[in-house]
Amino acid sequence: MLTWQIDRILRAGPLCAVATLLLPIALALLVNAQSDTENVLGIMLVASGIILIGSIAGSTLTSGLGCALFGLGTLVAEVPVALMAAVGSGLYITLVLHDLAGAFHRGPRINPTVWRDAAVTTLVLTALTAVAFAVTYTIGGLATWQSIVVPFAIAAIGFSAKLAADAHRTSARQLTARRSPQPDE
Amino acid sequence: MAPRSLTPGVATKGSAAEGRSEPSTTVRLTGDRDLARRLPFFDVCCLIAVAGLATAIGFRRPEILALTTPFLIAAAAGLALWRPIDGQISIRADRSRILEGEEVTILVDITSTSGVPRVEIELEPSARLAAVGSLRAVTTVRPGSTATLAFTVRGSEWGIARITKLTARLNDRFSMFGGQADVFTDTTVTIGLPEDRISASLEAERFRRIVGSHQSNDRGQGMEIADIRPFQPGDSTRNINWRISNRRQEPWVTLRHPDRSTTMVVIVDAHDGGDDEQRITQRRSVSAAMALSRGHLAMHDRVGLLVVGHTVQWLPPKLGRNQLFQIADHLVAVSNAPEASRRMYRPPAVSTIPNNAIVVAVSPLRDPLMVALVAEIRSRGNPVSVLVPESRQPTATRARLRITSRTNEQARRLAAVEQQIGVQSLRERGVGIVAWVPDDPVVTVIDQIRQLRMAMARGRSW
Repeated sequence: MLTWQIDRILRAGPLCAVATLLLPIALALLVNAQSDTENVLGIMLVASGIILIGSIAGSTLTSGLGCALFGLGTLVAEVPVALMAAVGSGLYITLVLHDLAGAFHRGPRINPTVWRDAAVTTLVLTALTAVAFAVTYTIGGLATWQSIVVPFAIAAIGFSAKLAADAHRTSARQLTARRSPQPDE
Repeated sequence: MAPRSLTPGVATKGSAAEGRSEPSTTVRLTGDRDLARRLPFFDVCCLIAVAGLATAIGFRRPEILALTTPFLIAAAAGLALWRPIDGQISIRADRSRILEGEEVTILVDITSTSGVPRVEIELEPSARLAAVGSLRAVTTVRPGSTATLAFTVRGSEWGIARITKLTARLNDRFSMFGGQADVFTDTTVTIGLPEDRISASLEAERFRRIVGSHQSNDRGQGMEIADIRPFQPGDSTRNINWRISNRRQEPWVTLRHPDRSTTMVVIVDAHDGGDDEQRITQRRSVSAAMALSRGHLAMHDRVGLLVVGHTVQWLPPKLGRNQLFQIADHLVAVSNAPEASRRMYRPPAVSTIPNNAIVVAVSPLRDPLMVALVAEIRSRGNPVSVLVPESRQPTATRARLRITSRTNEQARRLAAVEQQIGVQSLRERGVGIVAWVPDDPVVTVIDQIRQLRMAMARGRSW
């Protein structure tokens, strides 16, 4: 029964769009509660509004701008690192909801496996992110390691991104390569 | 977006009700460049990740990466786990023929060997098909499986309708890469008139002697062999059976059942269906022609069809159920005929109409060329009747009268006078003309034709 209710709610694109407003607002309230800096809530609420506008208009770039502004507000708020990691994951989930809102617009029929797969993927990625950042930040916090690992970690991230981009480019070239016409049998 | 190349195929699953498979249109997605494009989600993730990295390095505050790491990992995972989309989409209708108001299910099969995490399908039907519910659906295709989406549409207006376009949007698991494919399909659905089930026929006692089955016990000129007997004085040498005569060493003749079935040719004036009134008139013409054809074919008469309009279509008189389907197809196509810019009323088919065929034309007789065609057929000796569907007079309100210009009103009057002249000239040539007022059913007006023909036959008008 609960699955049916969740399924019904998530099938509607407008509800996903509303969720892209409510989730950042909840994060903003959480950040504001942990921060002593003034006017942070206003910045993040404006950012939440921009994200909603992006979801309604179907503009991923607008929602991305809203996420960046929200992140800036979180940075200004000077909150604990764990909360910043939670905000980062929340912003990513917001962008995923924005994407689903675009796919579910005009109330089409949605196969339940679509949002189920999206939810599983997002949760796995969020958990992976949290673990990876926790490990990296802990090790990076050590005085000895800090001067050694951080430059290598940044270089490693850049190198892995380059490798992934190369792999994607190679696959794309193989896919889109013009094939010579096959002679008729 | 360039249209995809289509590969016509045959669906593996057919309509259970009709026991045969309906044709389908298949489009291959493998190797499609438009489906391997970078999506805005990837750009946004990369921008946020790069901005976070730069800020963290610039301000020497690694905790900033806590905000941007999910986007960085998502972009990296999207790049690393991306695989080319492999699969195909086929579209078919569960029935190719429906009646107006009936529903038909459009089935879309998506097959993929590597799987598609998210695929959106959107159908765009032509104006004659109305959507029942949403024509968009989102689903997932598991690797090596087929996902089938069913969309229901209703035939809103008779004619030949088609699913003009199918739009497929495919994404990868992270919504980083994907694209859109527009497929212009040739899935057609023939929407017949509900009145097609009505059958009516003219009384043809002069032409038919039905006893029991539709074959007479009389012997005469015909196709069916009745008997053979020795040649007698007065027999035509044309009836000599040479094979039997050679065997018996004396002349024998073949006796045949008389062919008393009549031949009917229905002429439909596929005039312009520009405004609503003309479309209603066209609909009534087609329903009358269909009812006549159905009725006479049921009585084993040969029925032919001549559709005149922008193009000329001629179906020679034939017997049987197949001929009924042929006639129905030609009549349904009348609805999709382009607006007539140049008419061709001297078709070669006129000379091929049998001299003894009953000709019934369904035409508003607005065009002098149509009047000339009917007159020409009558001059060849065929008994001709014309069914004239009259238009419903518009209820002229004062405001409407003000809007209507005097020029248009005069043109309408001139056209009416011209029509009356044409009708009068045809009557003088012995053509039976029956006006069909809008509220009269088809059967009633065809009965009026029958009575008129009998009255004219009694008066030796033919």
